[in-house]
Amino acid sequence: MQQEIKSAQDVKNTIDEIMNHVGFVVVGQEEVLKQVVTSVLCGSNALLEGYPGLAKTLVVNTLAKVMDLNFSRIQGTPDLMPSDITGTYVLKEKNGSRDFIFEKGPIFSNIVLMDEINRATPKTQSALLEAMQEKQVTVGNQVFKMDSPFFVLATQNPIEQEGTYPLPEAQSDRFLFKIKTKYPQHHEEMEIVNRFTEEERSPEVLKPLINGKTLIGMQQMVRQVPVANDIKQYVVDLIQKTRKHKELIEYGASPRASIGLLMAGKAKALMEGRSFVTKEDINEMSLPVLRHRIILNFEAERNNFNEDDVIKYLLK
Amino acid sequence: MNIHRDIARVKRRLVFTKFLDCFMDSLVVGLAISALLLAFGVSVLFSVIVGGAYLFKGFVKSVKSSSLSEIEKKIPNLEWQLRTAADNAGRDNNIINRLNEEVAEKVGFVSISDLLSGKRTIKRMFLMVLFGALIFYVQLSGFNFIDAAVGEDGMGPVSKITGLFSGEEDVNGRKNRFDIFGDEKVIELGQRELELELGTEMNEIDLGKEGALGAGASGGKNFRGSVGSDQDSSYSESYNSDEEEIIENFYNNLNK
Repeated sequence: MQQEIKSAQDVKNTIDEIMNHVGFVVVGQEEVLKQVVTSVLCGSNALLEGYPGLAKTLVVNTLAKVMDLNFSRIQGTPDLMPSDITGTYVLKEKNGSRDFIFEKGPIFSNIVLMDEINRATPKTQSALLEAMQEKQVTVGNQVFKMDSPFFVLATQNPIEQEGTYPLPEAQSDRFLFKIKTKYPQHHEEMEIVNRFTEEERSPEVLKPLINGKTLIGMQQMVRQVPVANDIKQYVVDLIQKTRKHKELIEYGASPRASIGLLMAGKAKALMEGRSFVTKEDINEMSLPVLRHRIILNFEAERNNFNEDDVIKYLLK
Repeated sequence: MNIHRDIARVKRRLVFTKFLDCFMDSLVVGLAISALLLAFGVSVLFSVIVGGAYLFKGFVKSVKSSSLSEIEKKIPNLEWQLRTAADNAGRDNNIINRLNEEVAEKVGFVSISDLLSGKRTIKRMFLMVLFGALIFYVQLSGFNFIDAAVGEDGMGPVSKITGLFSGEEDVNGRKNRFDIFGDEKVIELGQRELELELGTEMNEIDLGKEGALGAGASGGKNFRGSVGSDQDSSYSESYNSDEEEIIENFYNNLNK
């Protein structure tokens, strides 16, 4: 297990090793995996959107295993209550006296996978808000700090919208990335078929490569990556553009998007062993950072533009 | 390693490169204007002034608009690194220190020749040679657009090249030398008013008028023959008697 990470090159080597290990279980989805790791390095949350059976849960589970982090999974359903996530006070008997003891919910973990988040009610979804942003949970009049590192990786299904509760803008803004998972290529699917029908490959066979402390160290390094003023200017200009192009965008991105985009650029640079951010880093990261933060107007939808098309247009 | 010093050095080189660029540009402009002025028989001092102004304005403008990205473009694998290092020069952590080391290593070898555009320099050299040759030709041939503009009838448009390479010869087979001393062919002035400066005095001659000169009116000397011109009453000059014949020839030929 590599523990000494001091330079950008060390980070790159570690991430490459993590990718290889995850690749032992997960076939393809390199881009998804890379973006999830970027989000983890930024200490932020990510929303994965894709059809069922595209290894979304497997990616997160495997990542938790190689990073030696606590992992918990919550299945979003309409009857899921906030206390099912945060935990609640239960009456317990101790030394002959009975007391209300706080029983921690599944949110108290390092990596929380919230499966099908849009199936949970808005009340339950909002229970995640505080944990995602403040890294704490308030139950009654008591505040409970989350363990560090902590991040929520939520998934949602773009089909079967009946009986779902689309995430409100305030909540989707809390996710650094909205990552789109795609169907595997033909050769990848052949590999999946071969691999999973001949032998059992679960994340349990993997050994941890890093631990929480190392990950926190890498997260601190991300913040240390220097950025040229021109790049900062470029990021702010891009976010401002999302608010000015009213012919396509009804609501633009918030300043949180500027922070997220710059952080994502820093993390990407570090993952590639660089100690500086380039314009290409920002351009590449702008799609997952902005696609859930802009709301297109009727004109854009009438022309069959989706969020990615509009972001690419803004980047030109 | 001192990133401040390295960046300051590379900035100085960039400024010097800008100066060289502007100097060469202004030289090309100056030579072009000189060639033009010489062809019109005007003093080349104007081209020096224009060239100097061009150099000053161009240099100030290019220094104001110069940025480290220009250096990054010229040096491979330096893009964004130099600007990042310069913008974060005051900060100190492992990642920035590593970046500073990389940048110092790369910019240490940056010379002025790396920053100068070879293609552009060659182009400017070519233009300098071209305009230099043009000036040489104008000087050697005594080419003048004003002469060329005045045709045989004295009024015509620019229709031929005059001067050394005109190919015209006089009756003796010699090249035209518009000599006023009467020894060789004299210019034909047609019907135009000519202003001649003799010594420090101005003498206006109206060639359109015919008639004898009145000695009393002029206050000067009478010339033999008939000169179709009026002499200004303020005209007075003194010359050697040896030169009398030359002046006489001049006016006689002028009157032909």
